[in-house]
This record gives sequence, structure tokens and C-alpha cells, in this order.
Amino acid sequence: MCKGFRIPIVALLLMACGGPQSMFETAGPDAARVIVLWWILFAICLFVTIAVIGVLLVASFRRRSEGELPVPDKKLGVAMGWGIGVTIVLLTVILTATFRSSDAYAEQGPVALTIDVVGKLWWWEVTYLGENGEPLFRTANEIHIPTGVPVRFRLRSDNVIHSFWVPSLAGKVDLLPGRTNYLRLAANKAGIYRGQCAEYCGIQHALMAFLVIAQLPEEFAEWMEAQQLPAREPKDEMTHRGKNVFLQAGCAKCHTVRGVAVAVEAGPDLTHLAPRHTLAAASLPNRRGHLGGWISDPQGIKPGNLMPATPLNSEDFQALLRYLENLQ
Amino acid sequence: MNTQTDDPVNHETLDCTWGNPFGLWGWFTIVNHKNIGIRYLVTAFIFFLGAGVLGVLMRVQLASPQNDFMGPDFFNQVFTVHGTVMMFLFAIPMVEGFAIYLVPLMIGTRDLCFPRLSAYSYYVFLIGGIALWISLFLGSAPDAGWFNYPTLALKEFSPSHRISVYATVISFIEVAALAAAVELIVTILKQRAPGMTLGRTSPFVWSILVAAIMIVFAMPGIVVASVMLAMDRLLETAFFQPALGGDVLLWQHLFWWFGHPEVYIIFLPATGIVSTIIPVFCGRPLFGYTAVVVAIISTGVISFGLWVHHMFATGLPTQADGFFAAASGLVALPTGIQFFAWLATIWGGRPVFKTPFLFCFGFISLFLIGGLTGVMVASIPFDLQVHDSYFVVAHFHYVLIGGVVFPIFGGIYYWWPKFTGRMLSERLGKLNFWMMFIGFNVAFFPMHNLGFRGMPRRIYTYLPDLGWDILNQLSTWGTYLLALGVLVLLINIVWSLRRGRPSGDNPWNADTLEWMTTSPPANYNFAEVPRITSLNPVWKDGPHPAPGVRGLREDAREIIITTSVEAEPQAVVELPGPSIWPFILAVISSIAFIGSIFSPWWYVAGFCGGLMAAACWFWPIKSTVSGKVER
Amino acid sequence: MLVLADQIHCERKGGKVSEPIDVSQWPRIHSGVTHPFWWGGVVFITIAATIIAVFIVGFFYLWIVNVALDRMGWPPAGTQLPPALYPGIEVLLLGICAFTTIYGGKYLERGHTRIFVLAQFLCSGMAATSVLLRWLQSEALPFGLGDNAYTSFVWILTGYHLMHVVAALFATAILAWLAIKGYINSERRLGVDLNIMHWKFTALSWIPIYLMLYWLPRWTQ
Repeated sequence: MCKGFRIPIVALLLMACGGPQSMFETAGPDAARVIVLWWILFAICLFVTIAVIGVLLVASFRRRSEGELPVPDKKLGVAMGWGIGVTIVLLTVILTATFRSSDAYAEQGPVALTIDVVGKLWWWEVTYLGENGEPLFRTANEIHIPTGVPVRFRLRSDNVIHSFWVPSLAGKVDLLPGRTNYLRLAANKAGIYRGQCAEYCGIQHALMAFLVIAQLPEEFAEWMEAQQLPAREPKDEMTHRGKNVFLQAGCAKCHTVRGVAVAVEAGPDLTHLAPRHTLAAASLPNRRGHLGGWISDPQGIKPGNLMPATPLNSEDFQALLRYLENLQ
Repeated sequence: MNTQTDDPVNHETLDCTWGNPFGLWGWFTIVNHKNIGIRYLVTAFIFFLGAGVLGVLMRVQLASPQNDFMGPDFFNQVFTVHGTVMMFLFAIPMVEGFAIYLVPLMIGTRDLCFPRLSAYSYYVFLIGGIALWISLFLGSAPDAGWFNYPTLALKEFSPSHRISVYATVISFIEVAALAAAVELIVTILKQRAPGMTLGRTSPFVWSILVAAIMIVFAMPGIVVASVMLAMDRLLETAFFQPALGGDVLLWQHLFWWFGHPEVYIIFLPATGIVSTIIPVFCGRPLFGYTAVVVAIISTGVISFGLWVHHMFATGLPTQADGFFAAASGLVALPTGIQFFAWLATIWGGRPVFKTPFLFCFGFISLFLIGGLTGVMVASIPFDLQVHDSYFVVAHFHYVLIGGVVFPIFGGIYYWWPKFTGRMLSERLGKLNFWMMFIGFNVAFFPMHNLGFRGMPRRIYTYLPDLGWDILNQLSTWGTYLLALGVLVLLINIVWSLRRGRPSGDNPWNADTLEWMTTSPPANYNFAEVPRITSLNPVWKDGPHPAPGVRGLREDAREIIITTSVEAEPQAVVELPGPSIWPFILAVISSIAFIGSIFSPWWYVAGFCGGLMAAACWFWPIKSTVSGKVER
Repeated sequence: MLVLADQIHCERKGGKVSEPIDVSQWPRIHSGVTHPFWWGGVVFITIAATIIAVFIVGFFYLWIVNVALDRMGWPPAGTQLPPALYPGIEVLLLGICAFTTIYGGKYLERGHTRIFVLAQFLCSGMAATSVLLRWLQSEALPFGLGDNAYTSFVWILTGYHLMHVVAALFATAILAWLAIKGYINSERRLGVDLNIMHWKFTALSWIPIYLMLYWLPRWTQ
């Protein structure tokens, strides 16, 4: 079902001229409003820059004749008065634009869906909530949303402060331990938008990223349905062996695979790992080679992260990869 | 300059009275403000160079994606130490150094009011700074950023001693800065030469006064925050523990209550430097003196209403955000007034492009950009996008390098002849300026764009294909040029010390009072404390002003006290001389602070020891004047 | 702003003054507002008071946060309130300390050094009792330092204030000794002025701390 998004991310990244994480590549009304505000701010500031630098240059290099009388203070005072007047007018314009934009920003309203996001060290735990706020299923580092309807994120943290930022969709909101914040946004274009933690949160802050994937509502519904299923059972012997490796080698201590192992939520839920685009908090493409590398040397790839290396003999290793790839 | 033949002053006795003791032991007892000021300046500048090297290292790491020049563990220490040193160990101490050296000269007195306190302040600053650098070399430097937010800074998530080092170093800086602030406030209010009413006090002195008062009210925020943090880590109190009724935002409020005024605490003195230099090189008095002073004061006041704009993303109520957004925009107004005053002064004068003026020129254009991006980030919806991105990195480097470092460099070129009696090379100076100016822009302008492209701050690496590679590389090249530019100043300094042209007393034909005496000044600053009749005393009275204060004893460190507003002579007071006790007290304070990383009992012991040392410091001594003098 | 305008006005009318100011016969010993030390004392007290103010604001901030976000209430649910008797007696004792130093200073000004010394002793005694009570109080507290944010505030504020009491006690004792030795007299009494200033602050600042930590939670529960 997600085949349409199975294009290598790299290609997508190159197509966007502002980059995949650019606030100018807007995909929703909230981000778009900021760009309107930006152009107002930019125009005003450009005008001020040109005016001040211009005056500075003229003041410094204007020709002065030998016997020229000093400029009377009154004349300078009048010029200064004009400057102050213009400053006040421009500040008023800026503040008005700000407040109009903020009011629209703070607007509350009905949402189609609430998604609970908990900042972890250093990844994102994502739980989709039902109509009454009951958890439907859990996933990690990849958030699917339907296009065209506003969705709400419930942002929390049980460790340090993080910040949820998807530049193409909206401004950032912090995830604070002991507090709950909400962010309401809508995507009006299907696509993959990269987000990243924006509040310094420790050793792996730099690679704590995630993807928001906006899908047409029907595709999204399909995805939701698939996600709520338990993990797929192994089909062949190799995958069976892989499952046993998963259970015995220590993976299951931290990673939940629904229907197979329930862990105390130390690491991402892997029930539907295979269709995800990325691994390790959107740091690696989800391909066999990267998956293997990540399992055998996580500390080399993201030093200081909480996943230990798992030493396995090569057959077990291949079986485990096979099993994980089977988690459609 | 008072060397008329009928001069009633015995220079030799006076010089001996205000002179410094010799030898290694003597070095630790010196209290003269010029020595302490130079020590402050040199130490802060060395810290600046060190933190600058750290900045270059970070740029090397970020020059290409997935670079492995540094690992995250070291990088996080490096960026934390870079920020902490630049803000706490360079910016504040550097402006304090200028103030400690220049204020007594600019207001016409012979020393600061509490000479031993300034010595104490310096030693505390020095020891604290050295402690931080040692921690970096030991690999246990703070690594949670200069802002050091809990819960990351709590023991649960930072179990090693690194963050405790941070809390301790901050305590050192608080003590040093508060001591210097007390000293400067009282000196400026009580020791201005007769006739130097507040309305004849130079803008630089005004800016120092306002900055010092701001320190008094802003520093307690970080004092309380750092004590709470140290206790949360050491004694397991619960101030920042959400599960026990504490709150993580409490730290942010306290930290930024200090942290925002802090920016103006260093920026206002920088504007004071600019307001001093521009008139001299334009050959006319500063236009709009009153407006400038009013702007300095109102900037100081408004800056206490801005702290929440660092916290727009934390989800505070929108009404509160609105107030702080408005205040953040409003602070642009007094700054704008200062800009107009400088522009008008340049317009009305005949600017001479000597190096100090060039740096002010650079300051105006760079700070303009930093200030405007500041107005942009006051706009909440825009801020929510660029907050904690490289846009903000660009913004505050334009403010802090453009707005503070450039004026400081201008100040170094301008006052160097006052400090040493020699000139710095103009040719090297111009090279220095252009390398720094171009290097700075190449290094930091692209960062605005990086922020737009979604690059967050404080990341040790990034993935390729995010569109960040080329801009980062460009920025790194700019940094090299900027660093080389700073190196030119060092070369210039070495050159000047060896064969710089003797400067004479007033090489720039400047107007402020410090140029009325010799360069470098004698131990006693002024042979006769002058009487002031104008805002530009040297231009008005030349090197031989009207008769000033006579009858101060030459064999005692006597100064004249004046009223705080009108500067009417009020009393004669004797200042204390050299003493070892400030140094001893500083050592005891350091033991208490550093010990408190490990056990609270060190703090208790240090407090008791400190009381003893303070008693010795203030112990009545035999005075040359009146038998015994108390304190 | 008015003051400033006035200054500039003064500057315009200020003419050239040619007579030197001869200060050779002026007195060299000062106390009170003429001496920079007095001003330094005021600034230091301002800093200390701002620190206490910041603590108090932090206390109320956590109160609001815990109630408004419906977290734990304030003091957090289940906190046993500290007994209020000893710190209440301290309000009185510290007040006496302040008054004895103030009146001691007045007598010193009139030349009654002996009464001054007596007052200093009385003050030191009261202060020492106060320190003792603070110790007993800390033993009697029904909670530890880190039980919750409220208990942390009780410890940190009483501890911070205790530092002021101890420092003031120490200074008072030394002043008494210096007066006995004759270093301090009706002329040379700058240290006494500063000690009075510090005692006023120490005694007054305890009142809001006491009410806030011990009584406000009782009244609001």
C-alpha cells in the first residue's frame, strides 16, 4: 500500500530546492502563514538596512568643502525625529502583522485525529489515539497523517526537553517533562516532510529526526488499518529462526513486537518495521545493509545512543535480518 | 599633564603613595584599578582567543556532513564551553576590564572606591575561568549548553561531575561580576570630579552605570538558579523535578531573567565605546547626548521585560507571549535612537577613517543586521520556525560579534595608546578590520539560510542531502578568515609593544577626561583632581583646566567624594592600600565553590573561613593620616 | 528624565570657575551617607534582597504551576507542615537584635561606648539563640530536603537566611571587641552603621520568609 512512497528518500530530497527540511517548502496553511509574515518582515528590514547603510555611507563620504559651516543641530534633530517616527511606524506594522498571524496560529478547532508524541532519548514514540483518547497502536519516528484535515499532536516527554519541529508544516513546540503541549496543524499536500528535534537534548540530539508522511485520506485509512494488526507470523524456517534470535539475543528486552514480545518501552516498537522509510530516528534509510550495520554497530553509527551492539554469528544475524524485514 | 612650573604637587611622593608593591608577593597584593583593569582585559582576551579556537574547531567539524573530526561527546563539551566562556568569561569581564581601567580616569578620580574588592573580583574570575578550562582538558567540561536546561542538567541525565562544574563556574562569575558592579556603581555615583554633574558624564560612563545596575538586579536570577541546580544535583532537592512538584520551566524563567538583560549588560557598554569613539573621529561632540543617555537607560529598563521571548516554544499562554513580543519589538526603539545619534554625528562631522572608527563603522552595519533579525524573532509565529535553528545562531553572532566584539576591538585600538603610550599600526589595523569584517560575514551570513533550511542548533553532525553542505562549508571558510583577522591584532600588539610609535598624551585629539592626563597614566591618575565644566572637558579646557581640588594629602591615598547628582565636593576619604587578603579570600571562596561539587560541607567550611578572612581584610590598620582608620 | 533635563540645563548656565577647591582642612573620617562604604552597603543589601525576592517569586511560581496544571497542589499533597513556633520566636529575637544595634549605635554616637558594647553583647546573645533555634527547628522538621519542591524551599530559604544571621552575629561580636579595644568611638563608627544596615535587613527579610513558608500554607489549606 505504501509502495507509492517507496522512492528512495535521497531522490525526494534532491527534488526540493529548499531541501527536505526547509521552512520555505510549505505543505500546510500554518507554515505558509509564516512565510507571508516573513516577507513582510523581510521587506521592512530590507528597507531599513538600505536606508541606514545608505545614510551611513553618504554621511561618511559626502563631499565637504573646506570652509563649510557645521551642520546646525536643529537640522540633525529634525532628521533624527523623522528617523524615530519611521521606526515607530514600522514597529507598529511589524507588531500588527505578528499579532494577526499569532491569532490565526492559536486558533483552536475540531481535529480529525490526535497523535501522542513522546520524546525519548533519542527517538520519537508515536501513539495513535482513538476517539476517546484510548491508544490504538504505537509506532516510532514516522508519523502518518491524512491530508486536508487538521490533526493534533499531544507532545510530552518523560526524560529531558525536546522540541517537535517539522519546518514544512508548522513552527516548533517543546516537549517538556511534567507538562503537556499541543500542536494543531494540517498538511494540504501529500508528501514526506522531515522533522528534527530542535531543543538540545544530549549526546545524540543531532540525529534525533523523524518523518511526517502526509497521505491522501484513503491511503491513510489503509495504513491505519494495517498498523493495528499484530505482527506478521514467520512464513519460512529462516524467519522462524530469526524470530527466536530476536527473542533470545536480547532484542526483545527493549523492543516490542506486538503479538510476539512486549518490552517495557525502552526502544521503538518494531511491529511494523519493514514499511518504514528510515531507521535509527530517521538517520539511516531502511535497507538491509543499513539495518545490519545498525544492529551490529549502533555505537559506531550514533555514539552514545542507548542501543547496545548485539554480537551474533552470521547465520543468526542473517535470520534476524530476514525476520525484521518480514515485519510488514 | 599638569606639569606647570608652579605646580604645587610633589609627583614623586604622590607616585610612591599610589604605587604598587614589587615582587611575586607584591603582585598578589596590588589593588590599583589600572593594574586590575589590565589584568581583567588580558585574562578575558586570552579566554576569548581560547573560546574562539573552540569555535573554529566546531566549524571544522561542521564543514561537511557526517564528519568524524570530533565525536558528539567532545563536540557537546566544546560548544558548551565556547558559549559559557564567551558570555561569562569574555564578554562581561572584558567590558568590566574596560570599565575598571577607564571609569576612574573618565570621571577624574584616583582609584575605584573599593580597590581591594576589585582585586578580589579579579582573582575569583581568574580562578573560576581556569577551573573551567582545566575541566575541558580533563574531558569533564559541562556539556548541556551555556543555558544548561534541566532536566538534562539534573543528575539523572547527566550523572558525571560535568554539570556541577558548570554550576560552580557560574558561581565564580556571579561573585566576580556582582563585586565589580557594586564597585562601579558607587564609584560613578560618588567619585566624579567636582562639576561633573550627571549631565556632563560621558556616555561610556553612563552605559557602565546602567549595565552595573542591571547586573545587580539580573544576576540574582542566575544566583538562585545555580544554587538550586547545585542543590538538586548534590542534595537531591526537587526544584526542577516535575515528579516532586518542581518545574523545568522555573530554570528557564530564572536563567533568562538574567540571560536576556545579560545581552544588554555587554551591549550597552559596547555602545558606550562607540559613542566615545565616533565623536572623536568626526571632530564634533556627540549629537543628541541626552537622547543617547535616555536610550541607554530605557534599554536597560525594557531589557528586563524580554526574557520570555527565549521561551516562545515552551507553550506558555498566548497573552503572556504577546506582551513579551511587544516588549521585544519596543526595545528596538531606544537602540534606533542611538543609531540615529551616531549617524547624525557622522553626518555633522568630518569622519577620519582611522582603525577605531572603522570598527565602529563595522559595528553599525553588522549590528544593524543583528538588530533587525532580532526584531524578526520577536515576531512569535516567525520565531517558532527559526527558534533554536541556525537563523538564531546567525542572529546572535551578528549581535554579539558585530555589536560587542567589533566595538571592543575598536576600543582596544582606541585606548591602546592610553594603556601603553604607544600606537598600534594603522596598516595592520585596517587589515585586521577588513579580514574580520569579510570573514565574519562569510562565516555567519549563510547561517540565516541554514536556519531556513531547517538546520537546528547544537548538532554535532548532519546527514548529507539536506541542502546544508555548501553553506556550511562556506561558513567554515569564513571562520578561518575571521580567525586570521583576530591573529592580525595579536601581531599588531606584539609589534606595537616592541617598536610602536610613541603616542604622546592625546594622539586622537579626544575630548574625554582620560586624555587630560599622561599616557600611560601615572599611578595617581591626576596630579590635581580637575574641576569639570563641560561634557567635552579636553576640547573645552585643553590640557590645562581650571584649578581643581587642592589639599589632598600626597602621602595618603586620599580621594574626593562628591554628591551623586550635582558632583559638589562633599568629603575627603582615604582609600585602603595593597593587601594580600583579597587574594586569600578569593582562594577560600574558590575552595568552597569547587569543594561544593563534591560535598556541601566544603561550602560550610568556606563560608566560615571566608568570614575570618573578611575580618582580616577589614581589620583596622595604622594609617598615615589619623592614627587609626577603621575599614 | 526630569532630573536629567535639569542637569543639562545646569550645564548650559555653568560658567568657568577659577578658584581651586582647598580640602586640606576637611575632616578625614566619615560615617553614614557621605562615605562610599555606606553606598556599597546599600548596593550589597539590594543584591541580597533581590536574591530573596527571586526565591519568593520562585516559590509562588511553583505554587501556581502545581495548582494550575493540576499537578500536586501546594504544598504538594501529603506534605506535613513544619511547626511554626521556633521560627516565630526568631521573628522576635531578630527584631530585638536589630533594635539593640540601632540603639547601640545611637549611644555610640553620643559617646557612650560602654552602652554600645553592652548592646552588642545583647544582640550577639539574641542572634546566637536564634541560630540555636534554627538548628533545633531543622531537627524538628517533619520532612527531608528533597521530599518535594516545597520542602526544598523551606530548607534553602531558611539556610540562606541563616548565612545572614551568622555573618551578622560574627560582625557584631567583632565590633564589640573593637569597641572594647578602643578602635571604635563616636567618630569612627562606619562599621557600626553598616552592621545596623545589615541587621535591619536580616530582621526584616525573615518576616516575609516566615509568613510564606510557615503560615501561608496553613491559611490556604
